[in-house]
Order: sequence, then structure tokens, then C-alpha cells
Amino acid sequence: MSDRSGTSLPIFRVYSPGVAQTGKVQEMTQAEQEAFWLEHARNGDKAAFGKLIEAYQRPVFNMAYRMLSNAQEAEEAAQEAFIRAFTRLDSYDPTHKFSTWMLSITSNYCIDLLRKRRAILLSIDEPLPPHPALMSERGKGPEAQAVVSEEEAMVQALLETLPEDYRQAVVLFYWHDLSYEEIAEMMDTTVSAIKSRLFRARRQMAETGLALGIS
Amino acid sequence: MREPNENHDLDQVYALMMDALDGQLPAGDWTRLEAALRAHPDLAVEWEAMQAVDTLFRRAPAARPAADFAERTMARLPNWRVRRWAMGAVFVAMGAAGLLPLAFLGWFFGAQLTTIATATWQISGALLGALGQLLVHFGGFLTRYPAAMGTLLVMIGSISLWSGVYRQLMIAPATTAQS
Repeated sequence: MSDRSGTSLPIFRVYSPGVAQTGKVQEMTQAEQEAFWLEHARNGDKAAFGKLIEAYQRPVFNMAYRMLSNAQEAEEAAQEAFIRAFTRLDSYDPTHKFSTWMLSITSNYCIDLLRKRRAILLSIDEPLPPHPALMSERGKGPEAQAVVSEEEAMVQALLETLPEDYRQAVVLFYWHDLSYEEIAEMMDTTVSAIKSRLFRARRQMAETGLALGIS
Repeated sequence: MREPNENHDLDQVYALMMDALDGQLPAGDWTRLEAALRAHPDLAVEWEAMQAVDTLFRRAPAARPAADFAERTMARLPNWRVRRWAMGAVFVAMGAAGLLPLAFLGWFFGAQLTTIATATWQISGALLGALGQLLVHFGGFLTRYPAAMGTLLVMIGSISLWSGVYRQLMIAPATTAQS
């Protein structure tokens, strides 16, 4: 993956018995690396799955954070998503991208959390502070950081106005660069339904944005 | 804000807006969109807000987890490999324990082993026969009382459910997240 979500598989160099003697190193492509770690993780190799966690921690955490708007909850949700993935690796279909499968687990888990949150009528009246990691993402001076912080608060405020399934589609579209087809497949619905959700979400956010003084 | 379903023209304008936001609006259609926005000032305001939101979202960076997130997540992963080995060892031990009484019998009652084997064979035969009879009667019972089959299925479902709960409980509990 090379999207804005920050996935980066580390380059692994594998010494196979044959080439080890000659000192030559066999480099694996990203897909091969992923397949290699998945194969070992399926056999219960935690270290192999750890490599996948390292590679996908940022998109998974970002998905959880954008859905939940709370860094601590997002971290727990992201951890839970990885644990679920590890214990259900047997059900992973290698014909699909691992990243898509991981994001699907994460977003579905977050939706469950949001529904539980709504069920207990937990309401947060004051906007949550932006995630600390986002504060230093762009700009170095305090003014630039203030702008980033303000924009971040606006982004989360807009996301929070959306129903869970709209929010899921918006996050997958904007941060994970998935096509309508991929989002539809992940959300187990049709492309036209996804287009409709994004359209309604954009209109709703534009309306909220106008009320919040977006420019 | 107008509802796009109010008329066909508005639907088309919104479709153009979506294509434009996705960067898929053909050059020729920009003129149509601009003309429509000039004709509908309220739509133009909405369009500007949509563009602002779109820009804001495209500029927003992905959130980063804490530096030690991967390590802490790995620490929470259940240890399937050790658990599998432990379960295997338990089954082997149980199997071996089951053989011990036979070895004991062979050692102390070697002469009588044949008699015991014959008796065991006869008992096994009788038990199998009884089991067969039981199954026949059970089949007849189910035919007469189909609701019993429903009860049985509910019991199996309950066992599956609780085994799922047990598996969930076996996963390491959540540690306090530190952001």
C-alpha cells in the first residue's frame, strides 16, 4: 500500500539455505513478504504477525481514531482488531488484500463500539482534543500547529455528525484511497449504495461545515 | 438546502458535483456545472462548502499510534503455538494414563488375561448390541416426539455458544492503553 494511511512494509531480507553459503541475499517483493509473514503467523508465529502489525498499525489505528474520535479508545480498538485478525487468520482469503481485510475487521469493530456507545446514551458535548500525533504532523511553529489542531477538530466534528456507515465509507475513501468497488466489497454492499452514502455524507458535512463557518 | 430529488436537473447538478470532487468530471462538463451554479446561487454556496470539506479531508493526515503500539499489541496476542503443544501433551498424557491399567493387568494377571479378554469381548459385544437397541428406540422416540429433536438442537447450540464464550475469555485481557 502506498496510500496516505502510512502503510509501509519493511524490506525483509531472507537468507535461504542455498544462498546463505554464497552470502547472497534474496530480496522479496512486498506481496511476497506479506505472504511469507502470513504463512508463519497462521502457524502461530507471533513474531511474524508482529511484522504485519508494524506494517499496518498506522492505517488500522487511523481507521479506529477517525471512527471513534478518541485516541485511547482507538488504540484499544486497533489492538482488539489485530488480536481478532490473529485468531481468525484461518478465515482470511489470500485472494483479497490483507490491508482490506484488516480495515474491514477494524471498521466493523468500531461500528459495534459506536452502537454500544449510543445504546448507553453516552454523549460528549465538548469536542475531543485532537490526537497528539496529529499536532506535530504538519508545520513546526505554534501558529501552524494551531491551524492543524483547528482543522483536525473540524474534521472530527464533521465526521461525528455522520451515521456509522456513512462515516465508515468516508474514512475508507479519504484516508485509505479505496475505490468505490473496494469499499462496497468491504462493506458488503453495492457500488451505487456507497456512492449514495458518500454523496449524502458530503452534503451533510457541507451543511454542518457551513454552520461551523468552514471556508 | 434543496433536496436533489426535487427535480431531475438538480440530480444532474449533484452528479456533476460528485464527479468533480472525485476528479472525474470531463472538461466539457465543467461548463455545465458552472452554468448550473450561476443559475442556482444556493447550490453555489453548498458547492463551495463541499469543496472546502473535501480539501480539509484530503489534507488531514493519518493518525499515528503510540511508538510502542506494536510491542504492546504483540504482548496481548494469545499464544496459540504454546497452547497447541500444551493441549497435545495433555492428550498424550491422558492416552498413556489409559494404557497403564492394561499394562498392570497384563503384569499381574497374565495367565488370566485370555479369560479377561474373552470376557471383555463378550461384554463389548453385549454393550454394542445394547447401544444398537438404544439407537433404534431413540429413532422411534424422535419419530413419535419431533419436539425432542428441537430440544436436542437447542442444547447443541447452547454448547457451541458457551464454547465460543470460553474461547473469548481465553484471550488475554486488554491492557490500559497509553496514548
